[in-house]
Amino acid sequence: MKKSIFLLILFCLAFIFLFKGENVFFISLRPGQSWLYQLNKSESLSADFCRELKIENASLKKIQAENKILREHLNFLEEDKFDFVLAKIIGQKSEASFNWFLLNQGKDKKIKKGLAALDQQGILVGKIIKVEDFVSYLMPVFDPRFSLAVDIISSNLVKENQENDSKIIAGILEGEYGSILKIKYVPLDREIKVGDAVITSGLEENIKRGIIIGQVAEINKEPNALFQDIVVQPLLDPGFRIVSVILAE
Amino acid sequence: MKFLKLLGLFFFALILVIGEISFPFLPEGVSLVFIFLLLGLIYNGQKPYYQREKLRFYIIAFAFMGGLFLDIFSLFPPGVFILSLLITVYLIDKIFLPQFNFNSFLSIFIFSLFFNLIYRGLILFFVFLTQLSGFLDFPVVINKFYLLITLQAIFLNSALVCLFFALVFWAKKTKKK
Repeated sequence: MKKSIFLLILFCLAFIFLFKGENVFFISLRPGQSWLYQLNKSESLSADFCRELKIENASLKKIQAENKILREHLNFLEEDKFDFVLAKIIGQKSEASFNWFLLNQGKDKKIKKGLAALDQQGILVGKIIKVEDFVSYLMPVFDPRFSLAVDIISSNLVKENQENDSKIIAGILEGEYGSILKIKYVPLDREIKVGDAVITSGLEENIKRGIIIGQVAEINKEPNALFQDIVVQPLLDPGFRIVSVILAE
Repeated sequence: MKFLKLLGLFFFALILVIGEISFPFLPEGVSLVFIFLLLGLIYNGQKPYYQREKLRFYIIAFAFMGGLFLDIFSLFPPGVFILSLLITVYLIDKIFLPQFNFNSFLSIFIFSLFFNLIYRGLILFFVFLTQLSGFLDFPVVINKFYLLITLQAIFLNSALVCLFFALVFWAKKTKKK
């Protein structure tokens, strides 16, 4: 009896993890998870005097807001000629110092590891770190393991509308403490100002150049250090629920 | 009957895991599967020793199913959550329960606190192991913020165990009256 139970458990585990049996759960649970995760507080609070009208109003507002988000996504994606896949966030979890978001699109929509995900304004929110057949996992920019090659564009250049690559300063962006962004490995002699724009440099294999990340918020220079530390204020919408995954060429 | 109970546990574990991952209003770090597992163990621990065998089977089955679903929806390689839950259940059931009485809320709180710590420690250990063996591409980062969030999660989970236990206790008392 014990032997047969043990064999049954082994069979179940092999089916789920080796022969893609987990897809059954992903496919069947995706709509429910999506509905649950997209719930918002205003909806849950709208139960009183004219309940039905308020619910209808809230659901219309929700559709309107979602519509606006989708239109904004389409605007910047069409302007920049990005090939993209829209994905809804259906879950999130943090465990053992890792933070991840679960997206409802996977290998079936050509998503692969290392791709960038943007919010409705075209701001970087993270990158894909694991892909299954029907879902994928997104690491947010704030995660301490997140690192990306970036360029800092001097505000003077933008004002004068000049294109001069020599004045663009390269660095490595890293998430820190799960709450802030820092650019490291920028030599001390480079002049950076608060408010300078930070964009992706395009050096990473699957991430295109020019995706906006944020603005320089603080510059820390220590006299004996080789590099300066730059704190970046991200411009992403903190309550993002839908993301565009930019596909590689 | 046993099969139906196991099927019920299967769906209950699935609902808890989906709630844990997809419910947006749940505070960060709350582990519903582990909370209900601890409640089951506490309930079993209050029974005389010779009556514990029957529920023990369902508790182990629940730990396995909960771990399985957490592993399916997790970033880590399979096995991290199943092993962490099963080892915690084993430690509680074989080593701790025979020598402990749950006679006050404080004892339940301390029990939950201690085993939450063990559970989180085991997850961290297995994640570290998978990273060392090359199954995970990213390093484990332990800094003061992570420790603070973990500590907060441990206290929150323990408080929720006490709250659920108090609710059950109160419901039983009302029923008796």
